[in-house]
Amino acid sequence: MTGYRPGKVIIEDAVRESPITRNLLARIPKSTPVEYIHDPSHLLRGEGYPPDRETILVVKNRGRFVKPCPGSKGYLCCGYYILHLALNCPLSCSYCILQSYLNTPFLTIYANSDDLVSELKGFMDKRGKQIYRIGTGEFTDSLVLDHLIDYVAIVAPLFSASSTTFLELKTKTAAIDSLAKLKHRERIVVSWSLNTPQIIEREEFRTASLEERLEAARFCEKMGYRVGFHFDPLIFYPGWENGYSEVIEKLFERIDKRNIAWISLGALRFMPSLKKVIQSRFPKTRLLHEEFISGLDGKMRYFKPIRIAMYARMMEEIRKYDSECFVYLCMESREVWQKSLGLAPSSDEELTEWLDRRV
Amino acid sequence: MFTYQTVSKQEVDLRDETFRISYGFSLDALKRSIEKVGLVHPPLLQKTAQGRYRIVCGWKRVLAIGELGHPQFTAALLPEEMREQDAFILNLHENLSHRLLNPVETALAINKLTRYLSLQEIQEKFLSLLGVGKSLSLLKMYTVILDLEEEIKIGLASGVVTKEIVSLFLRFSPQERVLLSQLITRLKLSKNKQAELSENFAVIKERDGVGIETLLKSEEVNEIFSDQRIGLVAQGDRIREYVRRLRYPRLAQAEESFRKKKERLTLKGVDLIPPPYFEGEEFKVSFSFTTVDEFKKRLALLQTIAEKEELKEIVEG
Repeated sequence: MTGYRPGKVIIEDAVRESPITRNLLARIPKSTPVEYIHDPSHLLRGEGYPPDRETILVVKNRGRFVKPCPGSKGYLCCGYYILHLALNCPLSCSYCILQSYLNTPFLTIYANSDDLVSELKGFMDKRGKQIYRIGTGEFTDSLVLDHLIDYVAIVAPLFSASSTTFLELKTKTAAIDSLAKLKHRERIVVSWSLNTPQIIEREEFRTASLEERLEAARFCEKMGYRVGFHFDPLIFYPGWENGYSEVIEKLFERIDKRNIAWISLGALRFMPSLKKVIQSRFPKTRLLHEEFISGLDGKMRYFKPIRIAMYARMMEEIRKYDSECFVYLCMESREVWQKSLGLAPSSDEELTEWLDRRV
Repeated sequence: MFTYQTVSKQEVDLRDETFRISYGFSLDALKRSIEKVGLVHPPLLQKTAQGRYRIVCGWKRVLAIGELGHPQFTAALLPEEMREQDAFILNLHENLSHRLLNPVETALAINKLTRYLSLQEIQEKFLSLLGVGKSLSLLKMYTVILDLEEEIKIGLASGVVTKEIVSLFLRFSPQERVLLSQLITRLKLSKNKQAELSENFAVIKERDGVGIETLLKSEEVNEIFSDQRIGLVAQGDRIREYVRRLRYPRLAQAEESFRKKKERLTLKGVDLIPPPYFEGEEFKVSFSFTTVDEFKKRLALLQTIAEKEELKEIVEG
């Protein structure tokens, strides 16, 4: 997707003068309908509204901007923090957890950036020397809206000034123009979620192609950013071995391994409630045909031997190109780590430490 | 609003089903009642431009009168100028005031409402009234029912086939749908079991290219159906298990392998339970006892098992 444009914008009165709102209004076509609203709570609750990613809702975040990643009961968590800049995503991945995880049907932007900056500063000041990795790509794509709101330009200087807090921008787009303009590139890792061309075509609608993602990563690398890659979700399908092997080959052809901060692997998993949503919105998908079981956290996951085989094969392929590359599993058990990668952190804290050493 | 008049049955146009939503009914009780006490509630009719009467409410009553051989009956007549849409809504309210519609009748009602209203209007104004929730996906599910084969509709109307699997039916060919419906009817499966079985059949077909007909002709299924020692519930459970194993081949293989290893441990009176789906690492042991001696025996057995290689193989993989 290049240059997402909303069909309509609804702005809460409380943030009509915010820099984020001003950026948005200056960059959308003049013909875009804009509505102002005093109380958006019914829209945030989404009562009676169908999913609508064409409407951007610009509101004040009344909760916290920085929250720890909730992790998953029974699986190792990497101690990640989430920076809530926005909710929902105009990309259309069939497996996207946001389809069942969020109530609000609209693409929601939290525009009270002054509050965000002050909370983020406070967070950084309180943490002392401990390293923190914070990402914006959990509840939206980190870059898909940035050409409209320039949020990264607002938060990047804070990370630049901190020696211990790192920002990860996760995306499936090639929308890196705002990064090119950025003066502060230290302590920012730009990451791409990667998949095979077959899966991108069949399941990741409106996203950039694999070639476009890798090209964008190469460009970011040239601009001096460190880059990361997430094979998450890894999807089991006939021919997955060759599919992912080719992606890894292309990745190491394009990107200098010294600039890769990390590669993560995470097999497809989802809350059971997502199944019906996927079946209804993407009736042709084959995603749900494999052997899913109910995991320790209640999420549906591939049967363990399938996951172990996939991770082991991915690691084997990555190691062909880089014996040192830091590879970690997202939300997996120690047993799966050990059986697939041949090593396992003893605890969440140890995994956190391993990752912190990479930034 | 109404006028009452005696109408001969020849004057009623039974081919005009503009307002008909009744489906899957028996007239026996109604006929007995009419014979005993007469027609208490006159059917509601409306005269058409052709000069005959169409039935607005009371299909079953008019049919019952016909079957009983009564040449005429008293009917309530709606004004000829009343709009078709208003007459249909009147019919719907009248029906819903004293009975629940079965899924096919609900589908008929929704289908007929679409002649006058948009899906969104139906969703907003009628879904709650029809008792089918308010979601658009449910509304769409009902619009599919009328396209299903007659045998399936009869199953849906009688409640033998659950409406929860209507969207799953669409993943099969018409012939397969009928086979599935026949199987469900034969096994008298509960709602959840119907959904599980249908979903598994659908995945096996789409993933492995093996259709219901092939599976139902398999040796395993024949063997289950020809086993006279087991009842309907057990037959259903075994069919479901057979299909589940095909749907989850790796999991089934792991379960079988665990079963064999457990057998080699020769557990007597003690059960070893693996983590659900072999996902976690926590095994459980369960046993029961009635005396202290029995308790000691179980502990001794557990002690012996603890030393066995087979246990290590099971637990450490």
